[in-house]
Amino acid sequence: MSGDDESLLDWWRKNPWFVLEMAPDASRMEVERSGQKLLALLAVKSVSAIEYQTPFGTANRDEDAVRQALGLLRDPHQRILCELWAGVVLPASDDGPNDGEPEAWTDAPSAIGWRIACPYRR
Amino acid sequence: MSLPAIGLILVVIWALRSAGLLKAPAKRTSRNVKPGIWVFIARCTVSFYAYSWVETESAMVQVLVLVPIAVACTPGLAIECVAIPLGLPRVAFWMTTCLRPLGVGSNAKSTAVCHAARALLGKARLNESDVVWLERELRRATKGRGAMLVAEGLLAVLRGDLRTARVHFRTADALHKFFISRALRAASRDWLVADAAAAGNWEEVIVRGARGRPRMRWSYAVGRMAQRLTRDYAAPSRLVACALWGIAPRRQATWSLLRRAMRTPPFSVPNERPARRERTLAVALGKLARLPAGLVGVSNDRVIDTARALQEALEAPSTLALVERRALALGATRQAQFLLGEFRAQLETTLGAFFGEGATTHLPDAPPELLLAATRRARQRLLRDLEVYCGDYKERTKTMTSLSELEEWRQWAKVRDAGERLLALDPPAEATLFHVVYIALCNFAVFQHNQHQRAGLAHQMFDWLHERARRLDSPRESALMAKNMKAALK
Repeated sequence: MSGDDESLLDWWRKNPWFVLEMAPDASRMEVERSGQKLLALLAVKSVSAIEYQTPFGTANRDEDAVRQALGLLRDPHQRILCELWAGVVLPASDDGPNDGEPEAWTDAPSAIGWRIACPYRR
Repeated sequence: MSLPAIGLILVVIWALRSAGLLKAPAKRTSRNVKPGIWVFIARCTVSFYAYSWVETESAMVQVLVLVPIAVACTPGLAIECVAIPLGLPRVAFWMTTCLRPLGVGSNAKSTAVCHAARALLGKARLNESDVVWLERELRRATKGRGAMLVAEGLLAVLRGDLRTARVHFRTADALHKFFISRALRAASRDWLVADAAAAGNWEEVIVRGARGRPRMRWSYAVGRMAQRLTRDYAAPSRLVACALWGIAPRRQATWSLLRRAMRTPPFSVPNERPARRERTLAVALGKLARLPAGLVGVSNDRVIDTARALQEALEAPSTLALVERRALALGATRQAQFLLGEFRAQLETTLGAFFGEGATTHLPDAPPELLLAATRRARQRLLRDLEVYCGDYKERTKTMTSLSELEEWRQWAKVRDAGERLLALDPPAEATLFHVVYIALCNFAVFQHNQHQRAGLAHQMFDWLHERARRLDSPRESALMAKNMKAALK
C-alpha cells in the first residue's frame, strides 16, 4: 500500500495492469507475452516503451517495474486485488465535487497576490 | 532641554539600536511592539528636521533628499507597498534587516526572510538560487518567534511542500499577539484560507476566516462569503457581504467570489438529497482517485462521501460475485470473502492517510464502518507519533539538550499539528492525548523558557496544554499552565 512519502496516485499508477497496459480480463498467456515484449523493448531502450498511459495521466516504466508487475500478476490473489484497483472509473470532470457542495475557488492563491505555488492549477 | 537636542539624542539612539550596539532592556525583549515606539519617534523627528532643512530648496533637491529619508523613516510602508508587490526579494530583505520597520524588534532576520519570500511568491518565475539564499539566511537567524514559523512556512510553499506549509502557518496563526506581528499573522491566515478555498474545503475557510481571532480583513471577508456559499445559518446579508468586501484588500481578485456569494440565497432548510445512484466499486474508486486533487486540503464532506460510496460498493452483492467469479477463474485458493477483506484493509489504510488532515474533521451521525476503521488507523498512527515526540522531549529535558530555535519551532509545529489532528479526528481522545503529552511537554516548555529564554515557544506550549486542561476540567493543571503563560509574557 502507499506509504507516507508516496501519494496515492503515484502508487495507483504502478498498478501492474496499467504498467503492462492491459485490460484486467486478459489471460495469463497474454500477460506474459505483453510483459516479455515490453522487457525486450526496454532492453534496446525503445522510447515508445518508456511511457505508459493510466487514468491518472502518463507515467514512466523501467524493466524493474515490468518484472514486478509480472510477478504480482502471477499470484492469483494479488492479481485479483490489482484487478479491483485497476477497474477504477473516473467521474467526469464537470460532475462537481458533491451533491450541492459549492465548487472550489481555484483562483484563491492568486487572490492573495501569489503568482507561483498554485498547485491546484495542474 | 531644547527640541533639537532631544531630536539629536533620539537619532543617536536610533542609529545605535539599528547598528545593534544598543540593546533594548531585557524586560521588554519578549514584546515586539514597545521598543519600536522610540524608533518611530526618532524617525518622525528626522523627517521633521529634513523637511525644515530643504523647505526653501528647489523641487529637485527636495525630492532627492526627502524620498530616501521618507523610505528610511517608513520602511514598513516601502516594503509592503513597493518591494513585495514589485517582486524585489533582495530589496525587501535588506530594507528589513537594515532599516528595521516597526514591530520587527529583535526578529529582523526572520522577518526579512518572510518579506523576501513574499516578494518571491509574487513573481511569475521562481529563481531557485533565491530560495537557497533565503534558507541559508533563515538558518543564520538566532531569534524569530512567530516570524521564524512564518518564514519556514513561506519557504515550504516556495519548495512546493504544502503540507509542511500548512503545519507551520497553523501554528503561527495560533500564536499569542506578543509573539507575531499582525502582518505576518495575516499572511499566514490568508494563505490557509486561500489554500482551503482552492481545494473546495469551505468548512475550513469558515473556521479560519470568519471565526479566527483576531479578525483579519481579507480572510474574514472570504470566510463570511463562504458562509453564504455554503448556506450557513450565520451567513451575512448581501449588504454586509458587500461591505466586508469593500473594506478588505485585493478587492479585484475577490470580486468573482463575491459575485458567487451574492447569487446564493443566505440560508435555506436543506433539501432532501436526491436518490443516490447505484454505486459500483469502479465508480467509488473513481471518487477516491479524485480526492488527491486537493491533496491534504480536501474537505471532510468529500472524504466522508467517498467512504460511504466505497462501503456501499464493498457490501454490494455484485462486488462479491465479481471476486468469486475471478477467484474461480484464476484458481485462487483463498475465499472471495478473504480477498475482499484484504482489499478493504488496503482501502482503510488509504482513507486513514486522508482522514484527519483537515482541521474541522467530524464524523457523521451514522458513520460507515470503513470510515470508523480508517479513523482508528489514523488515530493509532497519530498517538504513536506523539509518544515518539514526547519521548524525545523527555530525554532532551533530562540531558538539557536543545536544538536551534528554528529546529525547535519545526518540531513543535509537528507535535501541535499531530495533537490537533487527533482531536479533530476523535474528540473523546482529549484525555488520552493529555495523559501522553502533559508532563513531557510542560517540563520541556519550562526548560526552553528558563534556559534559552524562548518565551514565544514556551508560551504556546503552555497555552495549548492550558486549553486541553480546561476542556478536561482539571483545575490544578489549568491553573499551573495559566501561571506559566503569565510568566512567559513578562
